[in-house]
Amino acid sequence: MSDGAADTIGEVTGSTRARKVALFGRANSGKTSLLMHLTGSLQRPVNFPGTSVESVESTCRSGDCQLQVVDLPGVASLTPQSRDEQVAIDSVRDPKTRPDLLCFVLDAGKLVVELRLLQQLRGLGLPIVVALTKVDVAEAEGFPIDSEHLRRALGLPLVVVDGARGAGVDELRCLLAETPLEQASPEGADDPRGAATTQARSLQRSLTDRLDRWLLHPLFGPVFLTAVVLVMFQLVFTVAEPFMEWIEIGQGWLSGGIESVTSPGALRSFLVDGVVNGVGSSLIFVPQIALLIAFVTCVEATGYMARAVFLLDRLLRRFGLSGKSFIPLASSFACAIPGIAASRILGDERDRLATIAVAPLMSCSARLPVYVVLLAAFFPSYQAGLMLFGLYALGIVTAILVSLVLRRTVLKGGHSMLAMELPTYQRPRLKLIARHTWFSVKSFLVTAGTVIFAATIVVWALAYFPRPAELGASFERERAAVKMEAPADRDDQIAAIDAREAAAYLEQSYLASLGRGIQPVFAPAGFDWRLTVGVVAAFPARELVIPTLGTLYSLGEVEASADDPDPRLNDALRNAKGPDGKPTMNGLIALAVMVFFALCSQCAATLAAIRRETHSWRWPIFTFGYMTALAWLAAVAIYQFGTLLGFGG
Amino acid sequence: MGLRPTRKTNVTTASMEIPGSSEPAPDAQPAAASRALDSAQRGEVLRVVSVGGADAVSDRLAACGVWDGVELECLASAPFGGPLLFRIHGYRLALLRAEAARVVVARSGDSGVEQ
Repeated sequence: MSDGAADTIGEVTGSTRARKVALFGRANSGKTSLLMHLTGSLQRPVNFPGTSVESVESTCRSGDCQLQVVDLPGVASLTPQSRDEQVAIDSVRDPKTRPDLLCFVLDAGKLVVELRLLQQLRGLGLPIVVALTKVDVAEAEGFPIDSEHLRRALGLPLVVVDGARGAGVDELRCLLAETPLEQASPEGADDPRGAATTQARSLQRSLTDRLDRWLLHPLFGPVFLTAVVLVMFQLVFTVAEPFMEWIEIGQGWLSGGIESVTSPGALRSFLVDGVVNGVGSSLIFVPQIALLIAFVTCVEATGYMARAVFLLDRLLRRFGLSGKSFIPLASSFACAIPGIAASRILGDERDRLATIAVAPLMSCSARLPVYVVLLAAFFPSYQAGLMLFGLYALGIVTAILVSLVLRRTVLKGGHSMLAMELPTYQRPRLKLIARHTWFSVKSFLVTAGTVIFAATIVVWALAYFPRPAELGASFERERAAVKMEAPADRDDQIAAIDAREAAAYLEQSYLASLGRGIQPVFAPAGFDWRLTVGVVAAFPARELVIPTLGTLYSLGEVEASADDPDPRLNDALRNAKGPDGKPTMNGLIALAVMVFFALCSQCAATLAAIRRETHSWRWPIFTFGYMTALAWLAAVAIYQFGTLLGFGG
Repeated sequence: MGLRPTRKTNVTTASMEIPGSSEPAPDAQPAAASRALDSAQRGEVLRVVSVGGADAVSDRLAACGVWDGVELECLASAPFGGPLLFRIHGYRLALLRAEAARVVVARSGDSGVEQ
């Protein structure tokens, strides 16, 4: 934003007054966009103590008054129905946390219902300023609001604002700064309901009704919804591709730069394979996550997301979830982390926990490179497409079954409510979508990015150490011999020696010892020690499996690109032989590996996100446990039954 | 445009002239025509007679404006026994069938639907 916004954040000096203001209102009343206009873009997340409920807070200045504005979770009545509502109500009731002033965001589109909430709110004894939003919606719906009448009737300071465009916000800021902080003024004599007059429905209202006839049509509605979901997948998997390639190019360029200024050794390996690779592994998800969040926010801003929930509620309820689970689960096909964060919209705690527990089963974009490499290596293309579909379906079906089991056992009972508003269709505001996307990406990088980075460093250290000197010396002698002879393919030979050296180091690394130690566990699934090392390396972050396998098969650097798998890895996987000369990989084992990856919880960042959202270690541990157990059982079952049926040859 | 419903709605019901929650409905007679709201058909305009129960669901319904005497217009129903959509107080409220079943309603005059 402008420099003026930056000025608003600063130390409260001696001559200024400070005021704590809470934005109070229903979900979708436009509080969050109002806060953005009120205080500029500088916001910071607030965590309410003892809960995982999150909101944003920001400051701004009006004259000599420093306003600290917090956006409370949406509240429909002072009898809380969800955790978020409980937190919002507690924070205005508790004498320790209560604000100096409430800014009640009154949605003019449902004036009569809002007046009931305002009536309850006045009982708290806090001074109230009313921000009247969505007067355009009220007018379009056939009841224009006389704001002067409403102000008189309520006896409260009132200002008409436009949450989307920001009109009236300066006036609101002044009111928040200047309204006296004594007890709330008595109610006016007039009936505030009289502020609304009735007239014929306008064009916009009939537009929403007409659109709903199509978009909520029993036949056309679900067809349209399917199309919207397909567009979303297209964005995540196709449109994001070039951006991801740029990040890979940047990563390669940076690695090259570091290699040119450092000498081979632990420092270079740490910088290139640890730090740069770690940063790249986090950044590579940003294009997909940004596009996904921008799309979901845009669909939400138009008012269609509530319709999707309406259409899908019955279906998802049969599976022990609810219509609102749709957004977190659909997001999880790109990445489970924003999906798990999106589960906050679920009011019922059991629904929310079930949704969080099954979200990582949706095949995220980090699994795709694993599928692509193995499918290309072991299956003809006409089978590969079908199998890819099958792997996605496997995740969905497993999620349904797990959710059904959870809702009949540990998450038994409770009935989640729907009772939600379907808003008037509106044109989305680009600026608000851009801001929301930016905040979400920043939050992803801060929370998930750091975990992915740390995981990459840990796997790097396990794979790099120990470094016995005699091993390096023997390869150094080989290289010297090649350099002496100086054959025509000198560079190729040296590259081959380098690759074998990397493989030799990795074979005696702590990671390989770990893999060999664990290998008996995976033997019933047909995994040899190399695959086991790859699987072990992938536990903190599943995308690490491809580079690890590449190094193990002495290929040097292997690209984990989704659309263009490195053909050398395909050949190496197909031709790999064990000490007895028999091939260690075949189609059956490849299928077992893919199913293992489809079901296994191999992402430390997801577990960290679950820990953050559920505020306990119970759910991340449970999710990791059940997914790993299911993955192992499925892989073993495929290998054992497949061998029995003669597919193992 | 074969999917387009042929029924024509012309609702002019003013939803703002409705008494608040505290006042009992002036003309709420426990008539024989009263029934549960989950039986609503699209296009019907119904008047709330009472809301059953005293729990989270009834609290939530009250918070959404489902009060005695209020008029609701049924706008849509999701396929396969899914939720119902109503216009109430001039906004659109989606309710589960189980939630709607708590609400006793009576027919509120002619909705203007030509069947």
